Amino acid sequence: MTSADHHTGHAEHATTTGITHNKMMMWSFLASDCMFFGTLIMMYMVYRPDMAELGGVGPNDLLDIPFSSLMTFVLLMSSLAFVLGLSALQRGNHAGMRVWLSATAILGLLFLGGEGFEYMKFYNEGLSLGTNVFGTAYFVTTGFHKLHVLIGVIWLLGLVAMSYRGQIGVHQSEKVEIAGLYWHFVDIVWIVIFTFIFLVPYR
Amino acid sequence: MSEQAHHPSDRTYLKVGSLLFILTAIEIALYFVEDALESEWSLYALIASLIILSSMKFVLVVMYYMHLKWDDRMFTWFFLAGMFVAAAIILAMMALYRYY
Repeated sequence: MTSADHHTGHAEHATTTGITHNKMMMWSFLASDCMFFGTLIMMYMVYRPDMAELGGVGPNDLLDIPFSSLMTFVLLMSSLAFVLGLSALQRGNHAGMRVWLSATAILGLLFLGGEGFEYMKFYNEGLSLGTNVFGTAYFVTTGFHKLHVLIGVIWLLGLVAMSYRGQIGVHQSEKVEIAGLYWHFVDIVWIVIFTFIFLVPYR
Repeated sequence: MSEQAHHPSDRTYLKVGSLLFILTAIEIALYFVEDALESEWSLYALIASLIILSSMKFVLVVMYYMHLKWDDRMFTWFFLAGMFVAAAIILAMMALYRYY
């Protein structure tokens, strides 16, 4: 056990299922968040057929597929960076974990910056939350996703800070793993949003 | 098998990352052939292909990066239950709004 493990080390509480409460809580949250995003995507899909005929500030005029593809790539690579950070921690490589988790946070910030730039571009072209059904559905659905990414970035930076203070040892890797479940969930929600909002043609 | 008992190697993570990159590249390439499609059936085939590719990416992330492939089965059932309800909401409400 490392000094970091001693610092925060305490035995996990035994549970009847053998599964830790924290991990079970995160999976329960993710299951409920599936329903939350399911509702938002449902709202988008219900109004999607009406969006094809919107002139000027509709999806066919505004959505920038190459740019959104780049943002998708950034988010996918952030998930890869995270698992490499978790793997480093499980091998006892704390410095490696901090590097990979910082890289994940930077990629998350890059994603948020890129999407913020796209929001500004849409706004300058005349699309806002109340312009038309596309504006409302697009900003609400992607806005909640960005809020999730922002929370994830803050969580990641918190983990890096905790690691610097020696509060995450090899035997507390579950703390990082749980944050990872959240981060990867944000990634898979974007996989669905990218396909249904950006790639499927509006006709 | 619990995740603690089986940690995937970095090599596995990198392989999955490469696959995710390739699948995304195929999706984007498919998007750019959309304008060449004239028949309704080819459009449906394109949409089906995009959904299949997206599902493959989804499964890869959930199985390998979220460790469901090795973790307790109960987590899989928890997540599937949420997914099922979400899918049911989407399909039911789409049908409700579009047909009635």
